[in-house]
Amino acid sequence: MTRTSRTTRAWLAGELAQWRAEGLVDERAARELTRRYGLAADATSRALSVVYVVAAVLIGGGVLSFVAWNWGRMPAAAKLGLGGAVLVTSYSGGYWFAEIDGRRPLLGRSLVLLGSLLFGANIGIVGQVFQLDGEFWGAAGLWGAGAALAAWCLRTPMDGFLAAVLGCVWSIGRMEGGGAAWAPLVPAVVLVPLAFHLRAPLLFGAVAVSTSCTLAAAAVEEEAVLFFTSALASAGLFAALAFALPARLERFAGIARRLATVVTVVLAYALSFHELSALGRARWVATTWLPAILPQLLGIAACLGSAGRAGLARVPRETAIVLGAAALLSAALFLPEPEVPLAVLANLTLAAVAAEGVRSSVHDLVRGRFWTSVALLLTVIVTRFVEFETGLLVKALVFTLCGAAVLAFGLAFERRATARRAGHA
Amino acid sequence: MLVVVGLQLAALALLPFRSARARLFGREITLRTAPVDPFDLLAGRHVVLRYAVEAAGTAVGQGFEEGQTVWIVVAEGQPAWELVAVAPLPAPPTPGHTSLRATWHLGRPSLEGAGRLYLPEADALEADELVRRSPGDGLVDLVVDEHGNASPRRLRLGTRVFGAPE
Repeated sequence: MTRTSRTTRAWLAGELAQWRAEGLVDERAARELTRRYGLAADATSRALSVVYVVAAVLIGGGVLSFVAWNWGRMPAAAKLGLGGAVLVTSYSGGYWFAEIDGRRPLLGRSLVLLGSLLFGANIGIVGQVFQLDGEFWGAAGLWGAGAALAAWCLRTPMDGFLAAVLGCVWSIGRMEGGGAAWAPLVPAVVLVPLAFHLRAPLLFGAVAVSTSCTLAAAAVEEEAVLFFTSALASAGLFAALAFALPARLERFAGIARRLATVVTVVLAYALSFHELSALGRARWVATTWLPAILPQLLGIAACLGSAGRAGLARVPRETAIVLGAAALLSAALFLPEPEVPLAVLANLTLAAVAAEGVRSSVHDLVRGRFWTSVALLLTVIVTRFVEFETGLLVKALVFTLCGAAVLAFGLAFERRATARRAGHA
Repeated sequence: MLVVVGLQLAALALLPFRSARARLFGREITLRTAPVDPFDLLAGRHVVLRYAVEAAGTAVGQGFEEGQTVWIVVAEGQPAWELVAVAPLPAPPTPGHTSLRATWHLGRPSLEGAGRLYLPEADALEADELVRRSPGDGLVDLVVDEHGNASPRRLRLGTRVFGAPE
C-alpha cells in the first residue's frame, strides 16, 4: 500500500467516486486505486474508531451515573465485587481483542478505555461504601493515574487523553489547595513521553496545551507577572522540542512549532499593551526571571544544534524568529521604566511573526497560514488604534489603506494559488 | 494487562484503609451536625456533615497552623458527645472520652474522613427536605478507632434514620 497523508486519501476517495460516476475510470482501476492507497480501510477504520470510542464513553458515562444513583438495596460486598468484576472483564476483553486475537484492535482499545472509565466508577463505589470524604480533584488524580497506567501498559492513546483531562482537573484542584505551582507539570512528565512512545502527536498537543493553559491560569491568579514567566518558559520549551526532535517525529515537531508561535504571539499581544507590560516587572527581575530564561537557552542550544546538523537554511525560520523574539522580550523586561521599549518590541514581534507567516504562505501557497497571518497583522493595527487616541482623519486613512492592502494582497494570493492548481492540473 | 488490573485493584483496596480500620475496630459515638445536601459528579448524592464540635473548636483551639493535624477531644454526653479540647496530640482513649483526628483549616478543626455520608437518591432527597424544615437539628453516629480515624455510619434527623441500620 502506498503511504499518503490522511488529507490526500480523503480527497482521493471523494474524487474517485466522482471519476467513477463520470466514467473517467473503470471498475477495475477504481478498485486498484482503492487498494493501493488504502481508501476503504481508512474510511472504515476511522468510522469504526469513532463508533467504538463514542460507545465506550457513553457506556462509561452510564455506569458512572448508575454508581452516582447509589443503588441502596445491594449489599456493600456485592457492589464492590460487581464493580471489580466489570473492570476486570472490560480490560481482559480489550486485551484479548487488541493483543491476543489481534483482529479487532479498535474494539480492544475501546474496551480498554471503557475499563479506565470503570476504574473511575469503582473509585465512586469505594467512596460510597466506606463513606470516604475528600475533594473531587483527589479522586480525579487517582483516576487519571489509573488511566495513564493503562495507556502506558496497553498502548492506548485514548486512555492517555482521559488521563490528560483528569490530570488537568487534579492539577487545578491541587494548586487551589495552595503551594503546588508544580502540579501541572506532573501530567506533562507522565504523558508527553507516552505520546512519543505511542507516536500520538495529537496527545502530545493536547497535553502541551492543557499544561500551558493550567500554568498560565495559575500564574495569572497568583500574580500577573508570573504569566510572563510561564509563557516565556513554554515558548522556549516548545521551540527546543521543535528544533531537537528527529525527522521521524516531524508531526510532533510541527505541533511544537505551532505551539511556540501561539504562546509567543499571546505573550507579545499582552505585552503590547503599554499598561500591561508594566505589571510587576520589579518582581520578575528580582525572583522569576531564571525559570523563563533557562528554557530559552535550551531552545537556542537546540536551534544551533539543528543549524549545525542540517545547515542554517533548513532551520525553521518562524520558530527561530519566535525564539529570538522571546529572548528579546525577556531582555526588555529587565529594562528600567518607562515600559515603552517593551511595548514597542512586543508590537514588532507580532509584526515579524505575521510578516514571516505571509512570506512563507505566499511561497508555499498555504491559504490557512496566509489569512491567519493577515488577521494577526490587522488585529495588532486595530488594537493599537483602540488603545491610543488618534485623530479621526488618521484613523480613516489607516483603515482605508489596510482595506486596500488586504484586497490587493489577498486577491494576488488567491490568483496565484488558482494558477498553481491549474498548472498542476 | 495484569499489571494494570493488579495496581488499579490494589489502589482501590488501599483507598478506604483508615475508614475500614475504624469500621472494623472502632467504637460508636454520636455528634451533633448541621447537614447540607450536595451532589458529586463521580459518587452521586451525599450529605455534607458539618459538626458542632468543629464550630466550637474555634474558641478553644487557637494557635494552630493552617493544615496542621490536631485532635478533637470529646466526652460522652446525651444526646451527643461534647467538645472538651482541641489538642496537638491525641489523648489516650478512656471509656467516656475519645480523640478524633482533624485538620486545622481556616481557623477551625475539620474532622478528617467524616465530612460526608452517601445516600441513595430517594433517601438523599428526603433528608434534604427534612434538613430544609429544621436546619441544624441532626445527629450523626460515627465509628472511631484508637488512632482517631472516624467514619460516619448513619444520620438521624428527628425520628428518621438514614444510612446503616442501628
